[in-house]
Amino acid sequence: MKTQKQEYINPYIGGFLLGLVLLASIYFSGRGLGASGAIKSFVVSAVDFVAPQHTQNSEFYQQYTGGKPSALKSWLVFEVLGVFIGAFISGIVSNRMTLKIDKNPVVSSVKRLFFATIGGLFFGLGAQFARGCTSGAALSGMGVLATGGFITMLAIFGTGFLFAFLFKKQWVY
Amino acid sequence: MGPLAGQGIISPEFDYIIALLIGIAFGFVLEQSGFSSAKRLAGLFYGREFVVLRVFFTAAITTVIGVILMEYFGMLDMNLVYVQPTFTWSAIVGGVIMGIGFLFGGFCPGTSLCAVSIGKIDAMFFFGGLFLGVLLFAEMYPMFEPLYHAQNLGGIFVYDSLGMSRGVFAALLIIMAVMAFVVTYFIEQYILKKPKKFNYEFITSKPYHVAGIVIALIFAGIVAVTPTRKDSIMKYVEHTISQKTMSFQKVSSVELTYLLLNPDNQTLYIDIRNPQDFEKLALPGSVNIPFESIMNREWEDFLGDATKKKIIISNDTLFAQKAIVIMTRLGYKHVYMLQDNFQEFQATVLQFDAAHSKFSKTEQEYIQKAGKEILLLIEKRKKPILEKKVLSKAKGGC
Repeated sequence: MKTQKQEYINPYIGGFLLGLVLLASIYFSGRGLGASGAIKSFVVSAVDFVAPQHTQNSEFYQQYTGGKPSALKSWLVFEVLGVFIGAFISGIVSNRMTLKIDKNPVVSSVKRLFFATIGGLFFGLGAQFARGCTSGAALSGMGVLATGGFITMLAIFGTGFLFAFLFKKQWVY
Repeated sequence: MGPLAGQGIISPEFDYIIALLIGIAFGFVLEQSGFSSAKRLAGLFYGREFVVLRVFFTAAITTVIGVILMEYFGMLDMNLVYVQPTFTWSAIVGGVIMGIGFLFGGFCPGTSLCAVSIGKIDAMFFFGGLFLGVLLFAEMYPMFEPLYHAQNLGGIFVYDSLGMSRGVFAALLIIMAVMAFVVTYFIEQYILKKPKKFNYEFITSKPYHVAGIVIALIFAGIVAVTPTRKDSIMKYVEHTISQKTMSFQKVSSVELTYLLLNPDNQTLYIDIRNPQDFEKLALPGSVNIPFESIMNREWEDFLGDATKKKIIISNDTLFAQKAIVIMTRLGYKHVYMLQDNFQEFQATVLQFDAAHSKFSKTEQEYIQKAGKEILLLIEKRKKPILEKKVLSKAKGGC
């Protein structure tokens, strides 16, 4: 436990560096960081590829398809691709590459994976409502002092603390 | 001045390369901070791991300080930076759903991707779930749409929402973050059964932490006194007006009369009086932008049209001059003012009185006729059109 902890950098230095990355993003591209937006691009493109008829008739997909440049050719898609590469480099540098399920030993793998999927589903859905996820709406929004960013941040973490007791077995071990 | 991409300094193609590089840095920092472990992330909610809080809030205050200072030193034009629009209910509902998702999965989208990248199988399932969630939203969009678009407050800032100055809010945010860091440290020590006594010896044993807190508080002081763009523009306006360093282009009442009756579609009539006065009587085709809101971003597209001439209509010549200084400072081109104020125009043209007129006979006849025609036009278009910019910018965010 203790040795593993020391592998990670100091959280304040990590946060400072993360702030600098966000500032660079604002300075160069005029926008914050994000993650869920790229997933939306993938979903829109995939649905458009599989069922073009369907996207033409749907108000949601119409915002992103129909003669417009591919949803995949967007800033966030490139950025998210970068996140994958950056984390991969970090994993190799710090020797953290594994292939395993991270879970409480008393929780079955099936349950962990099922809960993870449900968690992803909720997060994907919620990020659409909030117009961004923890990075896109909460962090980037707070960085530029947008009201929506603070509301979303408080809602995410408030809900987390409020209902944490229901999930204790999953995370405390 | 940044952002570089918004002004064509960086081409759209190169912006994608920047996106990739920023993404790499983002992913690297997240992973190095330990965000690829669900246990560490979700541990926050049980008082076990405060790494999320520490990284998240340090990043937030670093950015807030950076943005405020960059704006002050003219390195960043906040008008070109994407500020997510606030839709109150949608933001709350989305946040609550994400909070539950966090408890189920132990990740958020960005961190799950980092974990996928280093081979965490649970993260791969979470990541897959994200697609299902977005798909669910897309398919049920007609049902969600009313909530999604409810109460659009535009790209508003939290300090305006709270009625504070930006400096005070930013300073309080920094102080709150530092307090949270200190408090969570003691909670952590308590849970680890190594409670610390807060005394002089303890303080001297943590020189880096103490230095960090001092630096954060110094920055809190700096941002508290850093004026916003609005404040510095108003200061510039006062200076320009008092030193008379600017000459104003003017349109006389008669010229305005002619323009109103011969619309060329090249002229915007900007009425900066208050909405009550505007309701009572306004020129045909004029748009009400009260003086206080002339700096607002929502008018950017409308006033930024460099091909059009803008004529400022006001009750007060001084306010018209101030409005012109502001607009010129904001980069709006071809701004004119009504030479006499609106009351003068009303008296000269709309309520034409030949006895007090300084004009020649033919002019008098024209003005008298024109005044009636304008009144007719006003009657016809009782509801002037407002061409406000819709505040949700197409690009940006998640």
